[in-house]
Amino acid sequence: MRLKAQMAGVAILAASLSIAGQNAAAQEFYEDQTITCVVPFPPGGGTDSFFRVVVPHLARLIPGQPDIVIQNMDGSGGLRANNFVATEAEADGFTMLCTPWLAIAQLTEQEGARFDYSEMELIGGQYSVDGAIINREILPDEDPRNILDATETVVIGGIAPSGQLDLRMRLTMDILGAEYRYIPGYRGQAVQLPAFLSGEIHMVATNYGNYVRTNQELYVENGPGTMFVHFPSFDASGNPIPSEQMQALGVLRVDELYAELNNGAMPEGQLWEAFALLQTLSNNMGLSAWLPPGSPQEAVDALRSGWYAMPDDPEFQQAHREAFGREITFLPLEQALFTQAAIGTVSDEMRTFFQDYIEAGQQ
Amino acid sequence: MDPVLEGLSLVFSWPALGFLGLGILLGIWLGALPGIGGVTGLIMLLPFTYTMDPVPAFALMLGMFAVTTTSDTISSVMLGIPGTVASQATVLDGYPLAQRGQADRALGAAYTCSALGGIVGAIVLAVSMPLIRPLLTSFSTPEYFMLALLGICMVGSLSGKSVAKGLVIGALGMMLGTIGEGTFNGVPRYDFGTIYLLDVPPLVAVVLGLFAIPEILELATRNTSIARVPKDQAAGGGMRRGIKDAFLNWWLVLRSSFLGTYIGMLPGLGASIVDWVAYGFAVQSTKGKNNFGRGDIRGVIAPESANNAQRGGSLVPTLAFGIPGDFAMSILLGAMMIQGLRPGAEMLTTNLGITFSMIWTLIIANIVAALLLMVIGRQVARAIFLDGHLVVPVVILFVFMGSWLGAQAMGDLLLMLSMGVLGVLMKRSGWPRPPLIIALVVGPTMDNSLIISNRIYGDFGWIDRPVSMVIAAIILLTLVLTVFNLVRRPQNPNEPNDAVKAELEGRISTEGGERNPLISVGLSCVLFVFFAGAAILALDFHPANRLYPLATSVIALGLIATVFWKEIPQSRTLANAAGGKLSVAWVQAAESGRLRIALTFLGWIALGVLGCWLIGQKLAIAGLMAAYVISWGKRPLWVGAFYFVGGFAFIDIFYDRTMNLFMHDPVLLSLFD
Repeated sequence: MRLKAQMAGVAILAASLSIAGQNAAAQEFYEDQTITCVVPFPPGGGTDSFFRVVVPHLARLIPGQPDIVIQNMDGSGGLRANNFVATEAEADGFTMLCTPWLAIAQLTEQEGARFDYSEMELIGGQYSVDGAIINREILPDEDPRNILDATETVVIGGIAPSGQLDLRMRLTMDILGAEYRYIPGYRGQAVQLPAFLSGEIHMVATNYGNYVRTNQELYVENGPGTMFVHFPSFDASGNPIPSEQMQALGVLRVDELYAELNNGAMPEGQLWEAFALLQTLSNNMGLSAWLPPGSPQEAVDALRSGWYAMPDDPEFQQAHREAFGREITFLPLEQALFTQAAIGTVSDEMRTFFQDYIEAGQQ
Repeated sequence: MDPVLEGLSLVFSWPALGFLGLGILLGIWLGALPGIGGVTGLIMLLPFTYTMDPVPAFALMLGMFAVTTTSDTISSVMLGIPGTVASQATVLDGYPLAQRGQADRALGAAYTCSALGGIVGAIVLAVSMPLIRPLLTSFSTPEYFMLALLGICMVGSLSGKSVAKGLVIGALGMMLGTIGEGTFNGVPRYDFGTIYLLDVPPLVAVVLGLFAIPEILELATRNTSIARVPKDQAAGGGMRRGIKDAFLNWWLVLRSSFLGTYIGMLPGLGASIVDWVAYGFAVQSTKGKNNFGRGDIRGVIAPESANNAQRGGSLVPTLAFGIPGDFAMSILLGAMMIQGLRPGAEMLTTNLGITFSMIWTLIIANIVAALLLMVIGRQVARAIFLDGHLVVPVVILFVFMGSWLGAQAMGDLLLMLSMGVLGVLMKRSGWPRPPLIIALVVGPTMDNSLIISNRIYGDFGWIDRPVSMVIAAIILLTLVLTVFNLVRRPQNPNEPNDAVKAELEGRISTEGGERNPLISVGLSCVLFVFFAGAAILALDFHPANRLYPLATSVIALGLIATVFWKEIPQSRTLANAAGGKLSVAWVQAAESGRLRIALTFLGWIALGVLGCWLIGQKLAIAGLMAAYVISWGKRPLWVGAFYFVGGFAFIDIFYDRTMNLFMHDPVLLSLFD
């Protein structure tokens, strides 16, 4: 499998990157200093809320215990803030980008994207567990396994064709061979939920945290929805990794559902490779923190030290559980660096595939 | 304990009560500063609530948020500049009242209505929570399109004396709303390869440029105070008269409050249009409407009732469903998550006490803020008799930094400047400004929801949906009333009342009141080129994104033709009066429109923008303030130094250190680096 070969190469590259040890310089670097955490979306959204929970604990756990202030720099679907930190902010260790990883924007050379993640200093990333909710009333026996016999053409209510969740919903339906119509433009819960409840759209994406906090009640318990599939992560060999949380909810992975529909066969081909790549890029690092290219190594070390102390910090985990209904899992640094490096190894063929696929969604 | 009483006791417990008081004071202050409103306040307060318990946290945030729409009236009435986006319509009658020396009356009425509207909104919030679901599910994409269309239809009521001009300006607002990545498919339009234009232009920079620049220009060039009557001739009747006005118009207060609450409940439209819709309905549904736009107290009462009531309404979907209706509600929702509160059934069952504490917070905050503002109202109202030259530099600071809040980019200042130039030309030639704002707000919703509706239901296959048909009937009624008002004869044309006399004597400036056909024809030509260019560019757009801007441009071109048809003969008449020479007539028109001094003032503003780019905001804006006071205001150097130090310190302490804004990196400094 081409993807496996690519990933194996990247794994070797990643393995050669050592995690720099924490040293005295890192301890002192942030003493009495202030870090600005640039969030590319408005206050109150998912990204902002996540980092507002993270920041006080991160500040406490970074050697030197700096102050961290959040600055929202909304615009252009996150491009403005990513551009700003990558190309304009001083590489002094005091401006940190806190963002969803816009890998597809870089990969497809989206208009306005002027950043290159492979040149930036990665601090750390967070696993994202995502899936899709479907209107159960259009499925025979209200069972997702009957997707191919849906009583109506499934209407996917998407946000934007280049959105990573939208791409994953479309790829899922294409891999399964299910009939669907993709309608983008449903920008946020405020328009998605009424459209879903009234039957205007049949499928929306959700992440696990939002699902257990609100979407289960809104879409499933008090609406016509049911969890359809979840989008798995992939290991370095290209094999899907089950999500314990989604498994506990009884939600099938995309490949599991495919196998049920195809006598146990695993999905393969370009669509599946694209899905696996997208998952590796976006799922592994749902939300991540970065410093500008060329930032001081002491700053990188100190921030990584704080970032990776958080999962073992009971106070942080309790705050995260209260806010998002679950404890958090961070991507190990080696894997995060592997994911960062992966973006540079994507073939031109795959880049073209995504460009064409996004364009098809815009029609 | 009864949840209603439990909520009340939670608010009155310590430290919640203290935080509520702090929130109210902060809200009053932030609302009074032009360009800064409740959203900015919420962003500032959010980090402080991390470690607080839920009730004090929401007492602080909601207490602040509830009252910014009360104190924002100060700027709208006193300066003619919307204090926040929610008080834009208040400007139309509030400012003429101030110019006639009746600021205290306008403020008294506004505070009373704000309190009453806020209470109505909170009560509706309390009773509507369990009932919201049917309302929400009956609104889907086609209904949002129809609601946006209803908003656009208000343009007719806000167009002053020329509906055609109002519609052209509405089309301009709709076209500005098409800039950037289309909300449907994310394909950019009119971005010209720039990152700044990948988004719809920020509303705050457009509003401040369009409204504030022309008003401070008036203050700067007329050498007067805000009030154009001497202090001893001001027949305001005081704040008490305003309070009485509010109660005499109780039915208008009530229906505007209900309108505000229910518009607030519908996600997506919210605060930015609620005051315009309330104003438009007041114009259409009240008798004796000749004074609207000239200082009719009902033009203050309607929007001020609605915008405070909207706060309660917008909380309904946020608490009941976790659906944030607008930006501010997104922040509150984020705060709820951080507090571990889960919107939905829990807020109506296990956390009902907290929900009622929020409702009580809204009620108490609205009453306390109104009382506090009434106490200081007389002193505030006296500011209208201050020398305008002392006021202008302070407003310049808020206009520049308020615009910067849009996207924190130099593009914001350029947008403010260009909107300022447009605003001055529009004001001088009888083109109404409000339609641009309302169209800019609802335009993207219209564009996106029309495409989606047609995709899902087939071309206009959604038109027979029941709720769509109800809204269509309201739209029809609105249009009929607009036409009826147009063709109806004006009341007592031979016996102008005080307001009309004030306009005729130039003591007040009304929207679309200054009519200068030659300047208007010039502006028409510019707009014609703009729409023609926009239409040509639209031909190359992605098919899904082409229809809306193309149709809007073509319709606008037709409307401009009707403006030409009406105003070219008037221009000929003026040219004939000037000896048949158009150039002479144009020079006379420019002189009567005081265009030369206007250009000089706009040149100063442009220099300020250039200065921000070269040396950063702190030095440039403080320098502009000082230079204005010394050069235009003819004040001694020490006064200029005072303004410089004060302006610099305020930007540094408030905008830079407290709000933690990214300030522009001075180009000159980077050259030295």
